[in-house]
Amino acid sequence: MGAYLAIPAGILGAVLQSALMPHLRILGGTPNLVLVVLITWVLLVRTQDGIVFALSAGVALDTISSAPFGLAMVALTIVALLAGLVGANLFRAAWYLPYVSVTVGTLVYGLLGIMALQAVGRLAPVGLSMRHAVLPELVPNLVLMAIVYELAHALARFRRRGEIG
Amino acid sequence: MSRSRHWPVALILVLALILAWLILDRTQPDHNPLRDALDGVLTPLQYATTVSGREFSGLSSIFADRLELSRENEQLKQQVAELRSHVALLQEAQIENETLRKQLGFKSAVPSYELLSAEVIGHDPNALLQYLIIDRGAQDGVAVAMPVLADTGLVGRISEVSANSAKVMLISDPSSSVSAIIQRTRATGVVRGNVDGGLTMYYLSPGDVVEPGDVVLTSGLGGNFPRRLNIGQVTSASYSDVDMFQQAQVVAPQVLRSLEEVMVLLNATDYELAEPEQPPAPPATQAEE
Repeated sequence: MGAYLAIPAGILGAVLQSALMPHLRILGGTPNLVLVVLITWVLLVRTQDGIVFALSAGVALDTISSAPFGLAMVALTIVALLAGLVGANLFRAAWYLPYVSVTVGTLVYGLLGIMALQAVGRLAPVGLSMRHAVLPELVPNLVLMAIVYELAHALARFRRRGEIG
Repeated sequence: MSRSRHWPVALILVLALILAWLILDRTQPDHNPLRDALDGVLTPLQYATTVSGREFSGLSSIFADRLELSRENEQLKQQVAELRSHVALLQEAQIENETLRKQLGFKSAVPSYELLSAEVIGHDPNALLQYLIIDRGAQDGVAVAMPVLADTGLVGRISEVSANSAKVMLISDPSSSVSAIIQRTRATGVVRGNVDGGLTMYYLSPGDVVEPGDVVLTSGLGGNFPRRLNIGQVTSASYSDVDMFQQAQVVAPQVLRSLEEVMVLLNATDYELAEPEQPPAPPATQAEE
C-alpha cells in the first residue's frame, strides 16, 4: 500500500512546500519538506517506494516551479537512490544516519538545481548560489529531519508493536 | 497482492503520467490538458493551505505583547497624520502639473492604470528562483509580461499563465532586469536581481552622483514597464577605476517574497511613455503679418 500512498503524499508534500514552508524560516533558510520526507521514507520504508514518492512529488513541484520541467523529478529520484545507498552502507540503527543522508541529499539536490539552471542559460553562479540558496537550507533541513524522522520512527515502532501484539 | 508487487505498478502509473505529460507538452505546448488538470488540483490546495497558514499565524500574533502593539499604534497614527499632509501637498502639485501640461498641450504624465488585485498562494519551491504564484489566471484576463505591483511599488512581471493561476517573476530574481532611473539625478541604469534576493543597479555612468537614500524608479525605456514606478532606495554605490560603470545596491520597500497581495496591471500595453506632444505654435507677431 505504501507505494500507492506515495503518489498523493508526494503531491501534498509539493503543495505544502510551495504554500507553507516559505513562512517557516529557520536561521534564514526555508526547510525542504519534500526532501526530508523522501529521505525518511527511503530510510524507514524502502528505496522503491521512495522513488514513487520522488516522481509524484517531482511532477507536482515541476508544475508549480518555473525551473526546467523534469528537474525536481530527476533530482529527487537521484536523492532517493543516494539515500538508499547511504542507508545500505551505514549501520541502520546509527542515530546519525538520517542526518548524514539529509546533508548529502540537500547538497546534491542543490547542485543539480544549479547545474540545470545553468544548462538552460539562467544566472546561477555556483559559489553564490551555494552560499545564498543551498547552504542556508542545510540547518532547517536538519531540524525538520529531527522532527519528521523521529515522529515517523515512533509511528513505525508503534505499528510494529501492534502487529506483534 | 504482496507489498513487493505494489511498487512496480505505482511506478508504472507515475511514469505513464510523466510520459503522457511529455507527449502532450510537445503536441499541445500551449494547452497541455494534463498540466491544466494538475494545476486545477494544485491551485485550490495551495490556496487553502496558504489561507489556513495565514490564519494560524494571525492567531499566534494575538499573544503578542500588547504594550508593544499600543506603542506601534501610536507611531503609526503619527505617521498617518504626516502622510496625509504629504498627500494633500502632492495632490495640489498634481493638479497644478496637470493644468500646466494642458496649457502646454502635453499628454498626461500619469496614465490611468487598470489594476486587478490578486492573492499570493505560493512561492517557487526552488530556492534558487524568486517567483510568486498568484490566484488569478487567463480567465481573469492575466497575460504573460504584464507588470505586477504592490502598494509600495514594482514587484515583477507575469512569466507564465494557466487558467486560474499565474507565476510572477520577481524583480529580485537573477534573470530579471528593469530599466531604471534615479529620481534625484535622472541617472539611468538597469536594476537586476541577485541570487541572495537583493537588487543591484548596473550601468550607471562613472560621473553620475549616486547617494544612499536616492529613490530608484522605473524609466519606462524598453517598454516592459510603465515609468515612475517605485523600485526601491539606494543603500550604497561602488565604483573602481578599472570598472567602466558604477553600480549601486538597491533595497526594495518591502520583502518581495513575503507579499500576500499584489496587483496585476491589465492594460499593460496601453501605458505610454508620456512623450510630449507637439506644443501649439506660438501666435504670429504683427511684424510677420
